[in-house]
Amino acid sequence: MVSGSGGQVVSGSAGQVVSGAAGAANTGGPGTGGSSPTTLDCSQPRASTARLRVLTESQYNNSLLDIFQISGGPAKGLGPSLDDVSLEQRADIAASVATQAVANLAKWAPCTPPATGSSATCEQQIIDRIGAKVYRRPLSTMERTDLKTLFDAGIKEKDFNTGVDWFLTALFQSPGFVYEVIRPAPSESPGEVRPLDGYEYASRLAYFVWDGPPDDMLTSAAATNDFADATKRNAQIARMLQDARFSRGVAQFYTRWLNLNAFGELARNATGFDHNVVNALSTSLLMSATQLYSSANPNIKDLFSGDRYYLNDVLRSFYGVSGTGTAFTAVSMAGESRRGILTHPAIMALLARPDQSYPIGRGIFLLRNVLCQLVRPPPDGVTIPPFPPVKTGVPTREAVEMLTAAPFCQDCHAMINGAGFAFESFDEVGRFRSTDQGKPVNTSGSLAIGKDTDGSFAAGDGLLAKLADSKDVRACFAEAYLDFALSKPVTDPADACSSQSLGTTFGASGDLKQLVSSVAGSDAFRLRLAEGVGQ
Amino acid sequence: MKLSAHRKLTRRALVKTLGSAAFLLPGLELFERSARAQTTGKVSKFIVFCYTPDGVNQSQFWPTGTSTSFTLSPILKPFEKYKDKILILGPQMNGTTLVANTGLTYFAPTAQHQAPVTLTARAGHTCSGQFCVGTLGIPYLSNQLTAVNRLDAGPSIDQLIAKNVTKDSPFSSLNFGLHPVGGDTPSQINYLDDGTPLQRLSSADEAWKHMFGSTTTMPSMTPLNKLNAVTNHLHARFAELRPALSAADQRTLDSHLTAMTVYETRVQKRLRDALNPPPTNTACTMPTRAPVPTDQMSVSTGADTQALSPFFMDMIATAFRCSLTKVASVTFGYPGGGDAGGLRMPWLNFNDPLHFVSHHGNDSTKLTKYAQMTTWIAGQVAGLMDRLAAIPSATGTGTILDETTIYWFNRHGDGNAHANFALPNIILGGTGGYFKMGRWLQLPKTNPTSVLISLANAMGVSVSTFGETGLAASSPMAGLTA
Repeated sequence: MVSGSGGQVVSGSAGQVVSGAAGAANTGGPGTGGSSPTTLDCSQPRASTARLRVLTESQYNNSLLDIFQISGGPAKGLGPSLDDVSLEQRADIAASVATQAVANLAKWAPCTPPATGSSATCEQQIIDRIGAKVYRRPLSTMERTDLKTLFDAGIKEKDFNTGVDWFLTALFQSPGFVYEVIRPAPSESPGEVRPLDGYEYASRLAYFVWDGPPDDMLTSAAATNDFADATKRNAQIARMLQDARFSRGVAQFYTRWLNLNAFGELARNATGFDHNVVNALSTSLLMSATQLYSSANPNIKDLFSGDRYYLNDVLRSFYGVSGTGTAFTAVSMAGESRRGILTHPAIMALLARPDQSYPIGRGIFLLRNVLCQLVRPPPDGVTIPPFPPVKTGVPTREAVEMLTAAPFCQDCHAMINGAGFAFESFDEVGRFRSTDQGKPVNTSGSLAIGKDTDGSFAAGDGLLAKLADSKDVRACFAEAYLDFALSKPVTDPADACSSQSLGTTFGASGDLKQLVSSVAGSDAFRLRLAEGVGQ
Repeated sequence: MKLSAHRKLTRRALVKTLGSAAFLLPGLELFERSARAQTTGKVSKFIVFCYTPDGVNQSQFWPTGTSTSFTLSPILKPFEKYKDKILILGPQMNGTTLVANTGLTYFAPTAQHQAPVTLTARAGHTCSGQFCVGTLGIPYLSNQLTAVNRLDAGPSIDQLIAKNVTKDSPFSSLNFGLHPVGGDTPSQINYLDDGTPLQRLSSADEAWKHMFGSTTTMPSMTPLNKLNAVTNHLHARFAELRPALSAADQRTLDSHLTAMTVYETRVQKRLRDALNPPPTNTACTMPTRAPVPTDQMSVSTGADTQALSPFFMDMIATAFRCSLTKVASVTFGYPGGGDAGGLRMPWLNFNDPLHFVSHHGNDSTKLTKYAQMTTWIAGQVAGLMDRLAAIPSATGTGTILDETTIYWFNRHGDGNAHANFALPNIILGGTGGYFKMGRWLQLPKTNPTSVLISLANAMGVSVSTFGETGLAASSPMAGLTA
């Protein structure tokens, strides 16, 4: 798994050995873990259990956008916690969204609502069509009956629109909308591996690829369970990758992979680094990803190479790049040792301290998120030496070397620092620099973690250059994508089979769109380990 | 806001000014009576938990002098006028230097930074990097703004107390958070029995709406009819779905349903009271709603905290005055965080997050900032005391502050070293006479869980053991009571 927090880490891109990381990341001691290899049996299709999953805030909002054309992200601040405070928040959002939807009834209703009085036909159409869209499956008989009772009660209270309002308010709070529900088949035996049914797969697929609900074509395919047929399934996926909604799914993956959720609160001491710069950096970074996927065959090589970034006037001014206009346009930041997304100013600023670069954070990020290397936090109870404040004449690198010089620290910091120093050409706001505290920046180092990125490098660029072609980086990236698709870490050996297979395929091609298709077609994504009703 | 800005609210005035929502406040005499009936002897009636992450500047925190005759440190100066209402649970001192591994000390390894241990005495989940997996099998992102840490079991001591003292109060507890979520470790402190973390109220709008309702129209049957119709429908959906699921998913649904019922009951009462207002409680006044900036600049820089914190303190004072709850909490920022954000105080003329200055490395500039930030927080806690001291007790004698226990607590001692000893925890308030106040204790190595038991006992809640193995205590802390 990406985080390396004690899950199964496939060693090698094509091996059969899984090194089980011992212990838990936040309770364990120092070291990189990884012992007691166990054999992974992938001779039969395998998958882990599928449990209730709460739709994310963006998935909620995109559902409103796609079904009701309500924009602006009204579901703000939604978390996965479902306590009474958050349920009240969800109820308020549901009521508010229902009001908006009623005001725009003509935009989304499958029938013309009656100007006065009520229309039983239109009411039933709204229940059946909209109910099924929101639940991503046809309604049960009981649901139809109960929704009509509710709708009728609203009509009786006041008018037809009130019926719509009550109907929608309930719909948005129903478990059928709030959760991605995968139901055990009545006859299933615990332990058997079964495919998701057509509607369940369509929903999982749409929220993965589009970060939104299935459209009518996916729903039609679900009705006839076209997804059981690989050719038909792949045709649907290929269609989805051509759709504009795909960029939403891409943006969500990169938001997660690059830990961007708290980006909006980024603060650095540098003069001029204000919220306008932060907002623009966030946009620019996600454009680096989404624009890449708009090409026909985006490759992971492109992700980890190139010095062109999308900058607007705010960013050009802050980073001293020439150009005009307020729009984001691709601009070269040549001569700054930049290589793709990892050296994007936003990432460098994110992985920094308020007043200096942060090689430790950058090293940990590279190891965990890009190389899937297990990195444990310092063991609890250990007295951490004082972190060096900025000192005139002492570059950050030197300060970190002194801080982590003890052999005990070097157990982990040998690899952490080795990776992190490669980025020392970039300061705490992601600006290029050739000196730090008056001394030439030193970005040399070495990595020895048993991966194909190992070795010494005279300058950080030497390490960064390896990432674009590394099979280990690709295996890790594939695993990160599967984590994202399943909304859970690939810790179960059952999912590790798919992860391994994806790593091998993607390792050879590096084709980013193909990876999305392969993930969607993988056993871990299409199948589930049956638990049985009530078991 | 100033307390003098309060308006006395009559039923008629409430209808005029706030519509149906305002009817929440009157008529709470009933709750007062039931609350009084339960308390006998020296028992605290209200309790507030104030959490600060990332330790304190230890060199400027502890008093000097003797146990009962001491001079408060610069950080604790805001409590100067409440020296008879302070109980400092300090470490042993050698002159002005604290003795390592004394004072409140975690006895077992607990994850660094993590907030959940503070009130649960549980180490919490293994969860780092991108994902955590909750007890019920629901995975979530540890670094999401919505990060949640579900313990294997709960509850936190505040919720255990709440469950026992809530009675008829509309809210079991009210939990507020200033920039509560972010960073790289769980930041929750409030947990239910099953380990569900409680979402905190983190904006003025959210808090106001939660406490006083949102409707501004004249009372009508429609909102209640709608709530009942929707509620009936939702319960039918849960009933239909549950039997079709796996046992693990059934547990998830059960937890959801329990929370939903709590919410529905509360809102139903609010709407019913709007239609049939109970007799007006003339002692209960609504606070004037103080303005809190919500523009993006203020929120992203943390400048909003300067107004939001006093706002939350107003809400707590109002809640106690009007018997809306007996248990409250406030969290100041979140622990750790990789320095992207967290608690920041730009009005002190620097932007550094608390976590950043907590790793001070003995740098004098950072140590000064560290102390300044904690001093400001102390001022906020003292501000809450001011508010409570201005409200007469419902008993006719003394003030609500006399009946309140405030626990200001931290996960770490020195933040720089993530120290697990010398936790800078303090009990404040009159505590209903339960604790012997006006003291600075220099404690040997002491289990902080024993303090949690003492706090429950102070609220009249009998707790024999609390916490999980290694962090558990089976008796209250000795020497605290009057």
